Amino acid sequence: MSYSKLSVKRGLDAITGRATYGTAPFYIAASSIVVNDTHTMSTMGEIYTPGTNGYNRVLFTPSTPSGWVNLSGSHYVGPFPTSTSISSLVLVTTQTGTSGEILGWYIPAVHNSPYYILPQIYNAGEGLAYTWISIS
Amino acid sequence: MPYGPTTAAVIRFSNAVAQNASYATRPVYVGLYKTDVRSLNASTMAHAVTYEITTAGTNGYTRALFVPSDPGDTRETHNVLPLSFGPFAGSYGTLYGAFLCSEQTGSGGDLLWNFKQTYPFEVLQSSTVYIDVGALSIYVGYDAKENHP
Repeated sequence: MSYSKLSVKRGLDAITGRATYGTAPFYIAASSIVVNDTHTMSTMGEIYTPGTNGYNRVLFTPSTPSGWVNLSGSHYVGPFPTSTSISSLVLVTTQTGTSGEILGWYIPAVHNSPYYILPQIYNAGEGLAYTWISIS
Repeated sequence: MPYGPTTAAVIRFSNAVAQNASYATRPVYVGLYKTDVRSLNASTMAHAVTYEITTAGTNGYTRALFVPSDPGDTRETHNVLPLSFGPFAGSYGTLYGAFLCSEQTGSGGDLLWNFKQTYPFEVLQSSTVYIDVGALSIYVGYDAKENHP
């Protein structure tokens, strides 16, 4: 998983006590492009508009960290009505729309292959590692 | 504990990124090590004081306030003011590094980061140790597990 500039700023400020940060939910979005630090909520290439085609941004439920952030429990994106190519999983601060911030992203190792994800991504709980349920 | 972030720092970083806990502003301080802690367990303040140059608040030695820069988009923060320690009342051995912590004295609070001194040197009686602006830099790369203290 890669952390965005915003995330790193938040993390560093928490270490040095420079700024105050509160709690808030965040979400996993699916993108058809390889996301990097130059992308924004408007340009991150989300596969569908949330709420359409079986797709919604998924609430990320973090564990109480003893070290690096882990997911708590299973997280699903989909199922989708058709085969859908996903190149990045993106952590964002809003459940819909293009406002908000990108906190980080994960590039699936399979993204250079011709595989398509169908119908679900299953997050196994270690960072943003995941297990394919089905690929075709 | 190698040089770099401690578990306390990683937890604070993770919680802030995950928006999983609230953190208020607070001062943090820099102390000095008389021991190379690379191969030692220096992950808590109880460990740090064991290797500290001398007891904080005594012998002319006080942990110095660390005023951090705004990370902005740089993925890095550093001390924006110079730090000084001493003059020391005695000779306290070789200075091998520094640490960032949440308390100005004692063995409580969080040990946050361990820094290595590139060229260790003797701390002599009446000497003063200076740390330049920007010398204590904390950087987190794209994969936060790859830290570059």
